[in-house]
Amino acid sequence: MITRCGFCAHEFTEEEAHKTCSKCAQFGGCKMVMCPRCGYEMPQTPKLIQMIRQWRLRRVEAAQ
Amino acid sequence: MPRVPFFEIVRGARRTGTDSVEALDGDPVRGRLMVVGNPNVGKSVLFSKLTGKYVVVSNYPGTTVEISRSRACFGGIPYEVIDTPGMYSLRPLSDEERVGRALLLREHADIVLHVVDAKNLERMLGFTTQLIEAGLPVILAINMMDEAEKVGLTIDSERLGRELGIPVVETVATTGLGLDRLKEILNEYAGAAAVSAA
Amino acid sequence: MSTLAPQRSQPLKYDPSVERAVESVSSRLTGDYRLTRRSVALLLLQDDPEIRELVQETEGPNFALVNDAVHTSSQGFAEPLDSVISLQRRDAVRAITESAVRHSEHSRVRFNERLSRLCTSPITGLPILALVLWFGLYQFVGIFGGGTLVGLLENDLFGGIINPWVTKVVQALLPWPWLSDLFVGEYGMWTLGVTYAIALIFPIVGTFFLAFSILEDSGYFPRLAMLIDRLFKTIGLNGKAVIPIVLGFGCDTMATIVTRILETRRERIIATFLLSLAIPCSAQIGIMVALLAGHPAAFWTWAGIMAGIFLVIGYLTSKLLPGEPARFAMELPPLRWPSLTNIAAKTYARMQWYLMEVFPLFVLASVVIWIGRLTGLFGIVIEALKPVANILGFHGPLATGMSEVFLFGFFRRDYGAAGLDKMHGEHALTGNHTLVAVVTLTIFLPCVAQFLMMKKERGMKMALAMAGFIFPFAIFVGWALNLTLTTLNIKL
Repeated sequence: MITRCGFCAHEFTEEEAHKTCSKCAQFGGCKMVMCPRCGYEMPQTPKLIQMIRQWRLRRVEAAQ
Repeated sequence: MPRVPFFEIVRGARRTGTDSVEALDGDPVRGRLMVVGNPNVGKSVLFSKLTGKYVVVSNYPGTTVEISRSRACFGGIPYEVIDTPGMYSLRPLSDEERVGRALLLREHADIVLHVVDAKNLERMLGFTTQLIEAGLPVILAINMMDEAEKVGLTIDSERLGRELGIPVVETVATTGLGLDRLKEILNEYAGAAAVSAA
Repeated sequence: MSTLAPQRSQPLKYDPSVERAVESVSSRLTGDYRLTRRSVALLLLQDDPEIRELVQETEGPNFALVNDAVHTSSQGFAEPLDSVISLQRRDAVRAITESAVRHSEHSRVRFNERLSRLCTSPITGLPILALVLWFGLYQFVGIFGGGTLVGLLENDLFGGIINPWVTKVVQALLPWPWLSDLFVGEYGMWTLGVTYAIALIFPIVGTFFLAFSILEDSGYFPRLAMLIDRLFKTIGLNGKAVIPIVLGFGCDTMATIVTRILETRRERIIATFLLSLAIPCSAQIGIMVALLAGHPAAFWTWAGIMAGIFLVIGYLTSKLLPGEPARFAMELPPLRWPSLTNIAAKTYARMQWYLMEVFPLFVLASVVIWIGRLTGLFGIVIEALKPVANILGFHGPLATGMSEVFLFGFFRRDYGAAGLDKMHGEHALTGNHTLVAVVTLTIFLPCVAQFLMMKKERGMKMALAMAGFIFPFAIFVGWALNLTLTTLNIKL
């Protein structure tokens, strides 16, 4: 899932962001995602939002 | 940080003679498209828009750098599409860039799609010229045109195409704008490359 | 053009001297490269180590000749060829771009840029920030969220309708007061835990995250960071540690910055002090503000104290990290009107994250308190904390309430806030009282993540020592504040 950093507008996937998780005390146990460029923390995209986005993407693709 | 053993990789390619073109799913691929560019230009979005949902993510051998490969059909020919790690130029400054360059040098690319940010054309065209200088078959996709428009930029892509001697397409990968034209061009060139190779 | 290859492989022409160098090298190359010889020659002349290896490998004995050509050519230039070539390439690319790109400044762009500059320059940026804090934080989160919404949910919905019913049902099902207490008693899982999670935390944190998401999506935050950075610079301080806290980059960031370089004892003491300024992360700040709703003067005082603390942090980080250059050379994403879908998604994401934490912990707390009360331990601890409350200016029944707040606050700041809200309900708290309580709660103790980070970086003993420092420190600040207010006879 491609997310955009709320601070520096860098776009990245949440899998990439998990790699930098060793810096935090919770070693990835928390549900936050850290921007690889600037370190800004955002909550992981919740399942519901992911599903909505995929659904909308499918609608756009079907229409093309 | 581990160094990518560069010339060993290339040596491997020459030993086998041909490049390994991997069949992902179904018919064996007969062409390869490499998508290159900065990490922040929407390259991955464009990659996903051009390919299907079947993506193989694997590490480049001997490194921790991940590469995404998928497939698509251009000009009726099944192609392997590679999303290379972010590259700013042909002179690598990081492991990711080293792997990116290794890919360009090791695996034969029938088409190299260079994706750039419309707002930062000047900074990114340097790499485009390097790719062209290297004799690679380049198509330029100027992405994020919507943001450029917002800051009042207008780009004469025809002029750009003439100056550089390559096809240029304007796109907004997130909305799909320009994608049809891009696919048209890819179809055209895939077909021509196949003909000239035959 | 009907085929991509062959193409013009010379989109750029370099200076004749460079072209000659390229020619002399490329003509000596005999191997088969995937790139053109021109390209390989250029890379060789630019001193690329991997390409050198490759060429050496490919050319074999011929490499000596190639290498010679590279050396002789390079000598013909006053500056390193690498930069000569890069510069020429840059100039050529600039010419190409200038011919094809046009900048048109329409009014929207100019407005955006002006607004952006207003936000980041200290003179205009501060008032803008003040407005944001006043309307976004105090009015929206504090008065609307903390006042109106909480009132509706807490008093009307839960207090008036749901809770009496639930209480009746539970008491009927479990006619033993000591047991029904666990669920619907004064500190019951439902009556305190769930009620406060939904009626207090949810509306406040909801409005906070809504305001936060709007600001985030508009692109204000990097500008706020720049503003703070500039302000701190004008006083000669380092804003590096402050900005992550303010923008909720994660509470552990301060610990990471500081513990990275500690060698001497002196530095460690400073670090102890720094870390002891336990600042709550953004959402909890929102809760603190909501508690101050209705006392605007108290709000500004609290904000002032927070600013003061930030200045101290800045001062100490300046001493601790001398010569660290500012890193704000980043590209600011454009200011834009926030989109509703983004706001909704971001708010939802943050709320889900926060409530998932809060809910189970609040319920757990009720169980722990229940056990504490059954064993009498609860009462003992409250009595022990009363003197502390007295120091802060809370006497009589207020002291009991405040002691509870401390106990709750030890656990989590937002739980402490629940306790404070409970006090609001039972006794009328003056502005002064509220301010002292909120300030103390704000600096109170590190949250679990901060504590874990301290433990990870400095070991358990150090972490405990620091926590042991913070608590008296927070009390001290509260006491000093109370003293100041009463001696100067200020009524907030």
